Order: sequence, then C-alpha cells, then structure tokens
Amino acid sequence: MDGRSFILGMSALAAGICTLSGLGSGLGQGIAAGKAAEAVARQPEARSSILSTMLIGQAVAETCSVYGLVIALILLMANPLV
Amino acid sequence: MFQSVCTVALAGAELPLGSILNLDKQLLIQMAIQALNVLLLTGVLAFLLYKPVKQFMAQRRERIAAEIEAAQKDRAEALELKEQYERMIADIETEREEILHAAYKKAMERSDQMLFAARREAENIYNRTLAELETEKENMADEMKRQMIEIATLMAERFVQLSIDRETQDRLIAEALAEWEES
Amino acid sequence: MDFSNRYHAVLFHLGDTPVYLTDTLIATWIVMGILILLAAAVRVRLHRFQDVPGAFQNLMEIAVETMENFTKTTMGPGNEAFAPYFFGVFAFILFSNYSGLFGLRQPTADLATTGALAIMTFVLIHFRGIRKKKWGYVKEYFSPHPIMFPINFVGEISKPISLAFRLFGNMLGGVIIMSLVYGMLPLALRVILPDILHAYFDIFAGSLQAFIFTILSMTFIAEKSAVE
Repeated sequence: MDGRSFILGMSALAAGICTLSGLGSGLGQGIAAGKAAEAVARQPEARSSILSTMLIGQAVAETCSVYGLVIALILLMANPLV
Repeated sequence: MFQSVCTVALAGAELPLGSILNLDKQLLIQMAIQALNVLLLTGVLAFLLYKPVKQFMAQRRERIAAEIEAAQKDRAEALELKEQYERMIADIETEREEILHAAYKKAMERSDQMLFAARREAENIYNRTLAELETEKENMADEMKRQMIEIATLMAERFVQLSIDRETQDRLIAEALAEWEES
Repeated sequence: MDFSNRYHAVLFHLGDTPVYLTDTLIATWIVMGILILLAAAVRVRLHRFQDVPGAFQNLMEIAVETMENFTKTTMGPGNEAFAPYFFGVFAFILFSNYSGLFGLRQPTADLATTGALAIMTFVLIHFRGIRKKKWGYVKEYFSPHPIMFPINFVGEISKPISLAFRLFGNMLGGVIIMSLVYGMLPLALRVILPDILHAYFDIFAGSLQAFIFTILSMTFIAEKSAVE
C-alpha cells in the first residue's frame, strides 16, 4: 500500500465524517423551526416577521454544515495532501 | 485576446478539464472578473431599471396627491359658493318680500290719500254749489221782491190815479205786503 | 457525472497565468444579458408607462417597491441608497440560481462568484462603518474589553467567508446531486423525475439563498454603521 492510496482512502473517510457536521445544524434548525411554530401559534399576526427571522437564524445555523460540505468536497475533489 | 482564445481552443489538449474548488490564483482572477460583472450588472440595473421606475412612481404619487388635494380644495370652494348662493337666494327672497310689502303699503297710502283728496274736493264742490245756490236764491228773492215792489208801486200809482185816499192806499200796500210776506 | 466548472478556452494571459473561459462566466454573461435586456426594455417602455399599470409595468413596480420597503425595514432609515445595489445583487443571484432550470451551470455554484459578492459586501460593511462612525469604528473591536479583540477580528473576517460558502455550498450541493441523478437515470426518464429536485434545489433553495444572502448583507452593513 503506497502513501497516496492511503491518503486518498483516509480522505474519503474524512469526507464521510465531515457530513456529520450536518447533525448539529439539523438539530439547531429543527429547534428553531419548532420555536417558530410555537411563536406563530401564540402570535399569528406576527407570522411574516417570525418566518423571516427563523429563516435568517436557520441560514446562520446552516453555515457550519455547509463548511462540512465544503471540506468534504475539498478532500474529495481538490485534496491538498496529494 | 481573440487570437489567444482561438489558438487555445484549437490546441485544446493543453486545457485542464475544469475545477470545483481550487484555491489558487485562477480563483482570484475569476473572482475579480465576477466582481466586475456584478458591478456592471448592478450599475446597469440601478440606472436603467430601478431609478427610473422609482422616479416614475414617486412622480405619480406626487401628482395623484396633488390632484386629490386640488379636488378637495375645489370641492370646499364649490360648497362655499353653493352656501353663498343659497344665502343670496334667501336674501333675495326676503328683499322681494320687503319691496312688495313696501310697494303695497305705498300704494295703499296713496290710494287713501287720493280717496281722501277726492272726497274733500267733492265736499268742497258740494259746499260751494250749495253756497252758490243759496246766494242765487237770495238774489232771486230780492229780485222778486223788487219787481213786486215795482208792480205794487205801479198798481198803487194806478190806484192813486183812481183817487183813492191816502189811508186806503197805505192799507192796501200793507195788505199786499202782508200777503206777499205770507206767501 | 461531470459537475466541475469546465474550462472552455483561454480568454487571455495575465502575466504567465492563463485566464480561462469557464462555465460560470458563460452562464454569468447569459444571465447578465437577460437582466440587461429586461432593464433596457423597462427603460424604453418607461415613457409608455401609465397611471394604471399593465402586467409588465405592475411586475416592475412591485419588484422596485418591495425592494424599497424591504431595505427600509431591514436596514433602518438613512440607508435607502443601498436599495438599488441590493436590487441588482438579489436579481443576479436569483436569476443565476434559476438558470439551472435551463441547463446552465449556476454561476453561484462557483466560489469565484459568491466570493466576489461576499467581498463586495465586506468592502461595503467596513467602508460604511468607517465613514459613519469614524473613530468609534476602531473602538468597537476592543469593545467589551481589549482581550476580545481577536474574537471580534475573526468574527469580522468570518462574515464574508460564511456568506460566500453558504451560497456556494448550497448551490454546489444542488449541482452535484442533480448531476448524480442525471447520470443515474436513463435518457428516457430524464424529463420527469428530476423536476421535483429542480423545484427544490433551483427554485426553493435558490430563492431562499438569494433572500438570505441579501438580508444578511443588509443586516451586517446596517449593524456595523448603526450609531448608538
């Protein structure tokens, strides 16, 4: 087994692990959506502003899972180690 | 530039396939090109689309606001005019009434006056006529008396000539006068 | 199964680096052409605009008015001058994301485009902040305590990076999944099945990401230039 294959294989493994970053952000987005639903139920007239606030918050929370995706892509497509 | 495009396109072999995520100098250059593209697009959209439409809408809003204001002002003016006219018409009505009343009163007064004057004149004429009649009557009575006296004198002369005494003559005159008086 | 940003030709050489004509550039120029044509159509038809708008005029008026109100509510008063810029940016991102529907590779699925947009936002944030706050701008980096300076500084740097990678990652994820699905399907099935994915990745995620990029840029700029 040469070094290059080892690095490529490990990179694929690492790319898979990178997708775990979606775990946290998925959880966070779910919590945000649940809270937003509660808020809408409590205050239906503020629906549009709650919705946009929720979307912004979710977009910010999504950042870390997008970072995970980008790192996975770098490892797979533009691996700096090989 | 065009030449380089053609040469490289023809000699495609030395062209890399492509990239997904290469953090290299190429990315920086592409980024600069894209920044220029976006700036150009933003500028064009702002000056050809956004600002003219916004200006158009602002102008329209202003114009409509001005029109509504003018319409309201016109309406207020018209209402005021209407009120004024109504008041004027009411005034004219009362004035007409007053004029009519005054004319009626004047006419009445005048006719009263005329009636009064006519009555007075008639009275005057009547009185004068009565007076004239009275004087005429008196004149006539005097005349008659004088003529009678003349006749009586004549008769008396005749009687005298027929030699009647003085006493008889007087008695006869007195009788005649008395008779005349009685009549 | 090729979802890379292909090179078609060399545009010119900058020094000794060749500058390639990429899928992104072609798609960008197509999107720009459509948008500029639209703007030109508006400009030409403007003198025929009436007080009672037709369909086209109505659409344009709604777009402009929505952007105006959106800028006002998001950035607060005094920042109305940003409305035309964000109108252009939003239109560009939206049309770029939708261009996937017509078989183009979305320009936003390339780090060059999103990076350029994010850097422009970055420049606006700090230019505006310095102009509005003068000395207070520098003070803000040391604001609760001078120890916080590295955190504040990294926070500022991470803003454009997260902006760029959020848009890029979302769109690239869409591109990769779409091309995998297209590669999987036989030619006969390529018409119907990917429509659902197109609806999600291009229309839903595309609109959402365009909206989020715009609103986050606005919020960052307004937050940095707000004078207490």
